[in-house]
Amino acid sequence: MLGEFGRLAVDVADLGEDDDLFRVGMTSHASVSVMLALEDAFAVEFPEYMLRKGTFESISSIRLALTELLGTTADH
Amino acid sequence: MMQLLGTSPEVAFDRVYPFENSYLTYLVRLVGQTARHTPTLRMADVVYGFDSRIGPLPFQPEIVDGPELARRSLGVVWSAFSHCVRARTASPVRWYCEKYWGDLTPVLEAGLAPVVIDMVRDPRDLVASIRAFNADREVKLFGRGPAIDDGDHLRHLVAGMALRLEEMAAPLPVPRLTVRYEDLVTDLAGSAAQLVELLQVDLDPDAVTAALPTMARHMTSVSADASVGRWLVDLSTSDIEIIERKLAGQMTLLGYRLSSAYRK
Repeated sequence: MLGEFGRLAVDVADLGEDDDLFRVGMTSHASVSVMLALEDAFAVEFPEYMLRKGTFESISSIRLALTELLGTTADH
Repeated sequence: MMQLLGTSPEVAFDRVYPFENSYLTYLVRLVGQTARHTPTLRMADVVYGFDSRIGPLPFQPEIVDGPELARRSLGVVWSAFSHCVRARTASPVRWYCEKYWGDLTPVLEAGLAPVVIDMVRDPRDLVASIRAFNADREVKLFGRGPAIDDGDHLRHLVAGMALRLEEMAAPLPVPRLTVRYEDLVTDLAGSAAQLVELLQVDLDPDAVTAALPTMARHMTSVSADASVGRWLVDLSTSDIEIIERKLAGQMTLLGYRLSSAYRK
């Protein structure tokens, strides 16, 4: 999903869990696309307090948010 | 805002309505290419232009830290650009101004030290205006094109606004002023006074008022005053609920009353 919507300058497979996605090309606009794709895919809704750049700054932060929304362990 | 700033000869930008010739944005994007991957690999493509995707450092881009090269390049390129523009104008320019599109991080990291003026507007009116603009002109702009329907478009808009408002709320190491659209259109002189104090230039609000007919083609309400609070008529209860559910905290901080306040 990151590869499809994140508009990253690098291959997602080359990224570490904590790499800064905004440093490798993701824009705020792209992070919105990632978020909405995740909402559709997992049938969740990101609440107001999660609508911030920090939620989407790394694979691990996205995983953490999804884990909280799903109440279980999320895989990317 | 741009009309107002443009009343000073000390503020440089293209006086071409709707003032979207954003040179800094372009240069940030241009030098940012060096930080991207997928470079050109063949010398012939570089020399003869067979590959028009000029951008990423060719050949072996790993010989440099791409993001670091981009950061260092922006300061140099901006300095050269400023020099060349100044060479062709007789105006006593002290500032360059633009509608900046994107992340401020590269600008700050390049040491350009901008003054940031954040323009905000009631998100509900913003959505109403965007829809009216698209409907009036029979276009699908502002992200409506790729969206499935108005509801999907609203999700994108609201999420984008949330991230943008969060960026605006974050501290910056440079001077910053937040101007509400509602204050600008209802008290232009007051907003002008704030800008004069911030930038130390002379501005002429009366000249902006005289130029309003020029801007009319960009407007979707009968007057600037009528554009404030249009959401009360233009948006459905469902639309309003979605916007306020996602943006309530930020709207309140900016002084926008939630619809529950209107029902009391």
